[in-house]
Amino acid sequence: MTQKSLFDDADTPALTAVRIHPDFTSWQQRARQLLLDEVPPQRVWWQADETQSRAIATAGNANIRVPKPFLTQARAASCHRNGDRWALLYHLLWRMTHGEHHLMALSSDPLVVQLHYYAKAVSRDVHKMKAFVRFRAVDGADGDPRYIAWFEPDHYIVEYAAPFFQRRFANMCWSILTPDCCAHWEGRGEVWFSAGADKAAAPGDDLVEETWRCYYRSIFNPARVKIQAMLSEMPQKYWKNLPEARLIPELVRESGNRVDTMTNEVKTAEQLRCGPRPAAPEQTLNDAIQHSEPGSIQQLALAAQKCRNCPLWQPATQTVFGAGPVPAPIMLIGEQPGDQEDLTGKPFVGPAGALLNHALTAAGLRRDELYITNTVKHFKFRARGKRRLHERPREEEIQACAPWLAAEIDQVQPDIIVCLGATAAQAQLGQGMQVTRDRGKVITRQGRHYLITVHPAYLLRNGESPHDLERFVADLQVAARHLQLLRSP
Amino acid sequence: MDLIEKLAILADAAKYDASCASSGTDAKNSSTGRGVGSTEGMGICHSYAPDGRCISLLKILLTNYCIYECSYCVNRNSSNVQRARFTVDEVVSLTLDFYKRNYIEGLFLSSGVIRNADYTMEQLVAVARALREEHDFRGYIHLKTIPDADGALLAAAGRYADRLSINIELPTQQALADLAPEKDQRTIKLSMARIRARRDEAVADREDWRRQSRRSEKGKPSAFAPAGQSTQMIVGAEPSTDAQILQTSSELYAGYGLRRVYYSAFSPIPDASLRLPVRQPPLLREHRLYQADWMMRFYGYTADEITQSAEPGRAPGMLSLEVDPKLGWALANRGFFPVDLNRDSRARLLRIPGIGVKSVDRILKMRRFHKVRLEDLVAMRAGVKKAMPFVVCANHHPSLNELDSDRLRIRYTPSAQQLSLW
Repeated sequence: MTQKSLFDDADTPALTAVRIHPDFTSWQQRARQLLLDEVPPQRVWWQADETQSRAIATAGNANIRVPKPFLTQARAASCHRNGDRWALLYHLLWRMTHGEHHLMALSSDPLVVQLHYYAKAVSRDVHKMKAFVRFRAVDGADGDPRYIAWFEPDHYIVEYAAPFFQRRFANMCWSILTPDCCAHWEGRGEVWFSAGADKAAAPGDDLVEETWRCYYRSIFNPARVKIQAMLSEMPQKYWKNLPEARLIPELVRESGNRVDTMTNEVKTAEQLRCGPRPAAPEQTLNDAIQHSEPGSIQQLALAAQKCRNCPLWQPATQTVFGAGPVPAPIMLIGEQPGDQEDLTGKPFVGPAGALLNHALTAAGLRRDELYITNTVKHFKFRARGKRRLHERPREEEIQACAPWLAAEIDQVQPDIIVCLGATAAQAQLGQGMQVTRDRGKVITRQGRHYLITVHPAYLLRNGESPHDLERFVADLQVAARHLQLLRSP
Repeated sequence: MDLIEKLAILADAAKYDASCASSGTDAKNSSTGRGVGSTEGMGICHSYAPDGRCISLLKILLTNYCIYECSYCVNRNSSNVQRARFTVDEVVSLTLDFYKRNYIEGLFLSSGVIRNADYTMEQLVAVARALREEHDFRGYIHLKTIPDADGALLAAAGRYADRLSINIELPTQQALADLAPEKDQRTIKLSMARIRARRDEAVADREDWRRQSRRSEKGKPSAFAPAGQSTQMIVGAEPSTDAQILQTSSELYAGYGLRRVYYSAFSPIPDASLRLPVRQPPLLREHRLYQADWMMRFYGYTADEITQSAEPGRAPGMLSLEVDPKLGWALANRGFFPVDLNRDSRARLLRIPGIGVKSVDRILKMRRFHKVRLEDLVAMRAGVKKAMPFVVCANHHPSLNELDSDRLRIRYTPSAQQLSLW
């Protein structure tokens, strides 16, 4: 930083020199006392040096409250190399406790900007340390290897970053040497710190680095050289301590030739080199159709998986065919599968299905004795963020699916067909059908009996009112009674 | 063949998979275990190759033998590349050796298909099992899932891996049928659906467990692929448009809870198929797709909005290469602007070119205390110059003239020279 510090205020009389050890806790302890003594920031001259003794953390004071984001940012900013950080932090603290409790919300305030700037520089430095530390293994005292790294951070971050390495390499013995401070871990106890070291104190090589360089060389794609992108994340100042970086100039230099070689390659005829190719999925499906009983419902269901009569197959996961015994006395027809049905391939397994199960039981019907299907066999939806929103099928989509439903009815030969909702009712009995008007009574067309009721999803949308649910159950009971009537001699 | 030779072949074979992420998984570390490793949510890129890509994981194939014949793939059955196969122990020791030296966050293991889907998947799971159970490895594991593999194998994979992925490869079924005849969208989507269902189940089990008043760590239900699933689409190998690509992405995000869709510009490979001659990878197009993807996930745009706005000189269904898609949308929808920084909703603020999610959230907080002025944007280092014609604030009103001017577009259009990539 070349700019003049924001906190130089030479004219202020009666400057108090405050000496601390340069660590967050020491600053925190003194700052707390200064606040209690109502010493304004203009009167404090922070002097941090290593010779001062470290303060020990104590419990906070109930009268001083600061927002958590400040604490997090301040802790990070306290590792910045610039000497004015202690004054900055105290100034912010003062303002926050003197009428500007909301200070952290003012992202354009010069001091807040400065805090963000320091905190960001430090967290980037820490992030790069986590990324670019390279351990080299040496034989340790008790025969186990000791892992030693040399790293040159921009800021005073070793103590701040050490717990990360402790959690990650908890069962190894390691040391991270830097010019300012060194961290050591013995596989148990606590991380301990020692004074800064020389690069010469770190080991010069590790055999695994040759393997690592082989990986680095091989994972690079010479056809998409983007040096700026690499440099912005891995600036050259880090290269000297990265064993793989020495390959970079050569890899860049060779890349043009490598691409040319690929481009100019003379191709010969293609032949298989890894044995016979497996059958394509479509072939597998066709085989399954071939091998299933001709004209059976199983064969129909398999054939429907290939259906492309309308465009709905493309976004959907799969065709959701009907399920249940064949033949069956009652056939339930809904509108179309929903999210859960599309994922599992089974009709009425989602929330509407759960409600349907409940209503069937209440009406004295057993789901496993019914055949349940839909008018349209693919889920029609609109993708919205992390959700798929149901969309009503259009007439041509209903028409496109009609042959499948006709074939199902033909196989199932139900005594009565229950249409759940308008789509099913209109598809079976014509556009003139209205659920509210025509529900709950047996309608006979060309020798087949139908009953119209609401779709369970309608009940879900209406908050499952007890009245609506009762009427739904009552409608289903009409079907059950009709069945008894048909069967009584 | 020694280990280094195998590594050279099997890392080279894996480099066309763009994903190398190690973020967004459960927190775990080795202080309670006997092995190494930790994951703390944020991914770490341990190195960068000169292709600008992050190296976070040891990304390798178990083997590059493959019975499939996908035209775009360097490992396809008929490719004349050298083949190799790692043993389980070799992958395990490479991973641990690299991890202990802090080169990587973990392993991304994929494989060519050998014999059949189940056999291949079994091999991948064996590596993950050895790392987790024998070595108590607590770093990141990403396993490629072979579509159609058995449910029990998938369950095991999800138990050991942080992330699972299945590549959709190409945006349409037609493109797959043409270029990857052994694959089809139905099988791929069914596998994605299975992973989503198992993840939903595991998340629900965790919730139930959390609600128990007397819960023990022992009874804690195990997670299933806590970092979710991702996929990859190859861009530029066949004529699909950006609109088709983004439509497919939005369906995958919505349907299967994908964390990420990666876009990979089709890149020259050695011994390329006669059907797909070598050409320069469309890197800028790939970049625009990532920007558009970001807009869908974090800025509330739909795929249609991004690709359907009429702009001069743009091929139908394609994103502009000249301006980024957010600016492109703003230029094509000038009636939407200006947006008032002091009054408008978060959703509207998010559509201002040059202003990101972080800046929007800062503006919302700030404006509770004072009127937002242009200087505030400058201090926050938001993209003021880009945003200016589109915003109203306490001391700035763009002239209507400016907002409607055709010159506005020209102002943002870089000269052809700046466009060239190298």
